[in-house]
Amino acid sequence: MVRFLSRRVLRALVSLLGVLTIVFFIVRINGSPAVLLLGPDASAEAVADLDRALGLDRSLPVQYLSFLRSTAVGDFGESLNFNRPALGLILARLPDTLLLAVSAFAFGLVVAFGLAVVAELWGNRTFRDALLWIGAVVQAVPTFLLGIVLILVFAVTLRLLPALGAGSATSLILPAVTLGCFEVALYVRLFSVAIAEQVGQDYVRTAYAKGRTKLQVTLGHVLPNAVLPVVTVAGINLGQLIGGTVVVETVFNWPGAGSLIYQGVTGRDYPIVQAGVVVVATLFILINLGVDMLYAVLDPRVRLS
Amino acid sequence: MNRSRRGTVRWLTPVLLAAALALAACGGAGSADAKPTSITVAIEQNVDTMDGLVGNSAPVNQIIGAALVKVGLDGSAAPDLAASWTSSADATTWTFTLKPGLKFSDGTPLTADDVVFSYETVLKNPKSLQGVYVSAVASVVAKGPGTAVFTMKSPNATWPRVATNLPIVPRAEYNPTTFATKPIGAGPYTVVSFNGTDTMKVAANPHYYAGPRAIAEATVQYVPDETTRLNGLQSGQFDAAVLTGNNVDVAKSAGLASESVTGSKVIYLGYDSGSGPMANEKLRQAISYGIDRSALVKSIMLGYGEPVDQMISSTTFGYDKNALVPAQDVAKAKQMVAASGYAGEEIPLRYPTGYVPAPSDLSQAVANYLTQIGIKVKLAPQDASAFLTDWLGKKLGPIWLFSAQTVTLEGAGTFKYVDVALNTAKDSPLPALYDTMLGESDDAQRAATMAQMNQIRTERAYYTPLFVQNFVYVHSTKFALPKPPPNGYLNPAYFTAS
Repeated sequence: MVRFLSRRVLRALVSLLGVLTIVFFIVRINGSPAVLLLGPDASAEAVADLDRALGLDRSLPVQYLSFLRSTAVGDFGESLNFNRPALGLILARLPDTLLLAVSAFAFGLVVAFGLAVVAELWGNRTFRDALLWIGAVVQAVPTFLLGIVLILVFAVTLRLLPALGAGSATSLILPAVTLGCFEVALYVRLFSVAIAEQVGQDYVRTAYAKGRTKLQVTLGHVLPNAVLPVVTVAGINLGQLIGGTVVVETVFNWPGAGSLIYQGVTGRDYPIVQAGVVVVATLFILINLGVDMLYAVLDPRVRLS
Repeated sequence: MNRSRRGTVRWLTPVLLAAALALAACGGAGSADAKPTSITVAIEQNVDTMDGLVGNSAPVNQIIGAALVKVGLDGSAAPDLAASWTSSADATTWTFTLKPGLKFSDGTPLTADDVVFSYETVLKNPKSLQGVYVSAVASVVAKGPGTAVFTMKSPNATWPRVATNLPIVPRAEYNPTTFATKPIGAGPYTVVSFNGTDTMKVAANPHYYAGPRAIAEATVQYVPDETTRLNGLQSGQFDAAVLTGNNVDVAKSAGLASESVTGSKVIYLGYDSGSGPMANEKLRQAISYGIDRSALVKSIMLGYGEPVDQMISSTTFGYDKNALVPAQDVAKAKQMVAASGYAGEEIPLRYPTGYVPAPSDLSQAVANYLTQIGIKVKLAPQDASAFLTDWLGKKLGPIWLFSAQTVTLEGAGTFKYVDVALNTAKDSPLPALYDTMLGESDDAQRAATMAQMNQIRTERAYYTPLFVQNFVYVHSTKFALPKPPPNGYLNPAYFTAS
């Protein structure tokens, strides 16, 4: 167990170093942010002064080493726009992003699980095919479009739910459902395939031979085995969800870290982008580590060694 | 329908109805009769630091802060904290006399000493984004509690307009850490809370020199996406926002009120007139005749704009009312292209994905006009911030589509960067004229010099101005906006209850 964890943590640190290096150089591809910050009224002298004040007049390798040193102690520097520590700004908005991502994830997983179980118990092939077909259509619809349609129906026309922001508990419903619809479509397909694989197994036939009902076989035998491949994909998917809420956050004006990182990218606010990407990458790595451990718990054939 | 399905429908219907009623109750509904005292406005300019001596978030600085001068609702340089100002004949010394009895929002007196402190603080801070505006100042001193005297590094007749950018803060209370989220200013409102990145709640400043504003409380939220602003207005979560084109019509059809004013943003075609195919003056002039500006305003802006043939709008100082927009003349444009010696090579037309209205449609329309007169163009879209960097670095290539805006409504700002800083024409007489204009403290004389600059720019076709984008303020009918501001900034102070 200790060896397993050590190896994983080491791998995670190497991955993080890779992320740090890539994000450091990518955000600097288009040159200094000073020209953007100061705008067209700035003289070349003013741009040079700001570059010097921000430490951007140094060579890239020197900046990179300095960046690694300060990052190692959790210092991502001050946001160029907000003049406050970038990590603090990201962490302040992270709970809203996590709330949105986890809600969408839970919505997707629970609804898909329920639909897949109903399809299996009912045994109606048309219903199952219809689910997969509808899922394919939902996956093909861009998230922003689905979000706008939901806003127009439930917020603008019916006035049942808030269109924007995170002002109340009901504010979460539309963005979470928008993000979660894609998850439902994904997991319905995964659950259906996994269940179909299991129902043909010998142990299922044995269970029926022992006089178990379809409900007992499905819930007691098929689902525990069918859930394993879904867990792996779900883990990776949750990580992707946390980093992929930007579009929904923008459409619903949701005050999460995703939209702040996007703002940082467009405004070339290096510290915000660096801190945001590292936080999201760390979460992604931690979730994957958790999934690996969970997999070992769920499947006795897998050992943490 | 079998019995079990009927049963399902029977219990499901009341459950869904109950859920709908519960959700409607959660949404809340205010009394329709009471006059609103609180407004929520969605602004497209970012709300970053609240510290006006560091950040340049103009809407924030104008809601919370007050400067010596402000942009008046008629576009003029109007008194804000200063009652009046005078300059030396060569525009190198400016004397501002403060209004009597000024106070900050905490009730402490505002004096010339605070003015000196605010400017000196910016001058000493190389990280301040306000430094760009203040850098023209050599020194500032207080002559008694009510007078501040600025000595400029060189003649600067535009200084009162430029001074609209910097809010004055109290020397005794200023702290860069606390002011980033909870500043003290002398503007119409004072900060109640700020969520740190995009939303601030404000209350009317009881000590505001013009008296507390009609709307006692306001929420100001940064919403960069226009569709999101429209959705917020339609759903009733926002009370006011600035929209463009088709979105305005959608909002109006939903029963929202709107006021359209001539804006300060000019959409134009820029050229590398110093090298490459667009160094050819005849080719540049041909484009000016080849484009139907009125049709662009009608089809792209849905009428919310005005054709123009100068780089500043009619609300901005320096606008030349004698500069008439040329009518489209395709035959003449074709002749000019033929006479230019243009060899028919394909020319990339760069445009940003932001900063201009309907970028794809507009660039496509412009490309069609150019193709019609025999110029081959290839559309080249670019991310807005990367485009801006390339523009500032003069790396956009032969032709680009962009916008020019002077939020202080001082034409000299546009002249400075389009004619002086970024114009690539090697033999341009404009930089020398710009310096002359800066030294002219008489406004009439300065306007005449600017008209001369406009004329030269048109003759040499350094740029092809297309149209001015109007600002359309869309708001709930619960509020009135008697005088919509010409700079596109939403300020709760401008609203009253209907």
